[in-house]
Parts: sequence; C-alpha cells; structure tokens
Amino acid sequence: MSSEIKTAKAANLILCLCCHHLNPIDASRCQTCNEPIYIRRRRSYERTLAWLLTAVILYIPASIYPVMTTVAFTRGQPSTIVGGVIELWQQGSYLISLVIFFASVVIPIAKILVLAWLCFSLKIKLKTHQRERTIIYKYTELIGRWSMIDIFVVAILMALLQLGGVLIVEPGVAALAFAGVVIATMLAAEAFDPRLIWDLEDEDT
Amino acid sequence: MRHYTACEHCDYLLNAPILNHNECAYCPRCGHRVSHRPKYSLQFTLSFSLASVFLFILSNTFPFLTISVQGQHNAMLLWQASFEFWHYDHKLLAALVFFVIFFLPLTLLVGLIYILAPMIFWRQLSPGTCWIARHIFKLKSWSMVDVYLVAVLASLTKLTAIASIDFGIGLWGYISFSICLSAALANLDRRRFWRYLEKVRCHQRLKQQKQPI
Repeated sequence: MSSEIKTAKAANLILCLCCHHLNPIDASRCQTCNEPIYIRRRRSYERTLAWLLTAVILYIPASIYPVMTTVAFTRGQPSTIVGGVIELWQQGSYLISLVIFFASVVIPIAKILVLAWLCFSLKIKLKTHQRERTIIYKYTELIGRWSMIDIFVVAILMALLQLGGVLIVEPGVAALAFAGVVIATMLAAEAFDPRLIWDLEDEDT
Repeated sequence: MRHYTACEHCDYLLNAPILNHNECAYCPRCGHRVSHRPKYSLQFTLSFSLASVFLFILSNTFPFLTISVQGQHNAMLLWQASFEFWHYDHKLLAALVFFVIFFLPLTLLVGLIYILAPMIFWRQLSPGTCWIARHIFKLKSWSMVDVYLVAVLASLTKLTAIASIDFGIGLWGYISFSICLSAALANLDRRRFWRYLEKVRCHQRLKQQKQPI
C-alpha cells in the first residue's frame, strides 16, 4: 500500500457499511450484499441536524407535561420525569433514582449536545481532536437505547397496577413525546457520518 | 480489493485483518474495533438463538410478575406491558413498545436461525438470505430487551414499598432470554458473517458446475 493513499475515498473505493466490502467507486450497490452504497452517508449533516431539532422540540413537552398520573382512591397525582426522580430520591432508593436520572435526563441532553457540537465542528472545519470526536460519537451511538428505560417503567407500572381502582397508573402526554425524543436522537446518531470528521484533514494532505 | 478493507469510522484503508480465535483488530488511526473473531462465532450465534426462542416462548406463557396488595392479586404477562398503552389510547406508544421488546427480538432470532441453520449444516443459502441479513444488521441496535430488564428492576424498587411482588417463571425466562440474545448478537461479527456467506456461495457455485458432468 503506497503511503499517499490513506483513505478508501482517496483510493476510489466505497466501503459498504453493511458488510464492510470495498466496492469500486462507480458501483451503486454492494457486490456482496446488494445494499445501496454511497461514498459518505447521504446528506449526513442535514439529516442529523433535522433529527436533532426534532429531538429538542419534543424535549420541551416531554419535560413539562406529566409522564404518568398515579390515581390512588380516585385522587390523581401527576408526575413529570424530573419529579419522579426527585420523589424516588426522597424515598431513599438512590441507585434507581440515579439510573433513571441518567437515562432520561443526562443521556438525551448529552446526546443532543454532543451531536450538535460534532455538526458545529464540521461547519467550522475544526481539524484537531479527530480521534476524540470519533470516540465520543461511538459512545453516543451505543448509549442511546438506554433512555427508553423511563417509558418501559411507565408501561410496567401500568400493566401491574390494575387493582380494581385502588391504585391505577395512567400514561401522560410526555410519555409519547419522550419516546419521540429517544427515537429522534437515535436516528440522528445513525444519520451522522464520523468519516466526515476525518475528511477535512485528508483533503489538505 | 479483497485484501483491503476500510475502517467504518474514519475510512482509513487497511490490510484486511487475518485473525486467530479471540483476537480483535483495531483501526490504527481512530481506535475503532474493525473486526473481531470469537471462537466458533456463527455456530455460537445459531445455538444461542435457538436457546433464546425457547426461552422467549417460556417467558410469554408464564406470568411475568405477580403483585398482591391487601388480598388482591394481579399477574402480568410480558406482552401486557405494551398492551396497556393501547387501552389508554396511546396507540403509537403501544405499537412502539411492542415493536422493540417483543416483535423485533423475535424477528431477529427467527431470521438468524433461518439464515444460519442451512448455511452451517447444509452449506446452502435459503432464499432471501441477503435481504434478511442486511436488515438484521440494520435493526440489531433497535431491540431493547436489556433496557427493558433494567426498567423491570427500576419499577420493582418503586413498588416493593407499597405491595408484595412475586417473580414469575416468565421473568426468569426473560432474564435468561436476554442473556442468550445478547450472546447471540455479540458473537455475530459483520465481516466474518459476510465472508462465510461468500464461502457458502462459492461452494454452491462449484456444486452447480459439477452436476452436469
């Protein structure tokens, strides 16, 4: 391998993201797995930003409105996501309240901020810390699924607490909005192409 | 071209790694794990998927959790968790939860068995292998069985204060199902899978050439 050719793009090859087979640049579908291939993910930057915006907009109703309402003896008590965490903390279950706090507050916000920063760093053509940025991207992609915990907790509580009107849990508007946040951030991470981070450096050399 | 590969995160052109058992290859530029080779990768995936299917049936037929407060009992089945959203007219949410904890894991498993069993035992490709395999790799990260288990633990601690809760056989089944599913997916390496598929394809082609003679 000659020293000038560093990337597959420079060598006129396209990597198939599904089966990791290298294809010639004029191919439109992968030779091995028949997946449509592109030199970089299509409209990666725009699509990531669009999904991020969706997530930010959905996060507002998700944190304002109650995620579930606990009805005990016909008296309803709505609780938001943050309210639920505080309540658990006061009841003394610190570990679980921390888990839920991380899963439903820290992770979505961190994901949105990280992806926004990555997009911004592409825009200002930042040429340092490529390795760190790639690693950060990798972890945002891995960690995203865990935000769904809160939705599942509501689902389980609803299914379990069917005790003849004594104690009922009803889902709130925020549940759907929060599920939307999680899905939008997952799709944003999927749309982002970390190879763009490295492209700037490769163009110069 | 066969001897080269590229890192999916930084597009660095590499010599395709040749790995021994239990070895991994990392990209020298960005540190991403390019490929890994667990021992008996695809055979393990197949056996763990088969085990998972049985455990999945088990965890769906037996009660998942049973709650009892002041003489009132309520047993919950696994799929009921998603079904309750439907009752309260959150149909989209119900469909979503059903999809990620029930439908998708099951489809992944059935798909994996459908592809891998003929490949490993008879060195044949079942019809539609390519299409199914592509979608399995795409949808892999959307199955949230492990997340659901943590959610079960979280809601249990919320409830043990006000009611007594019994773990059903279904829950134990689901825990082992989750372990088997993660093991099946962890042993599945993209590069190894597609190389194996190419081998089987080659084998089939040779067979076809030999037959007329």
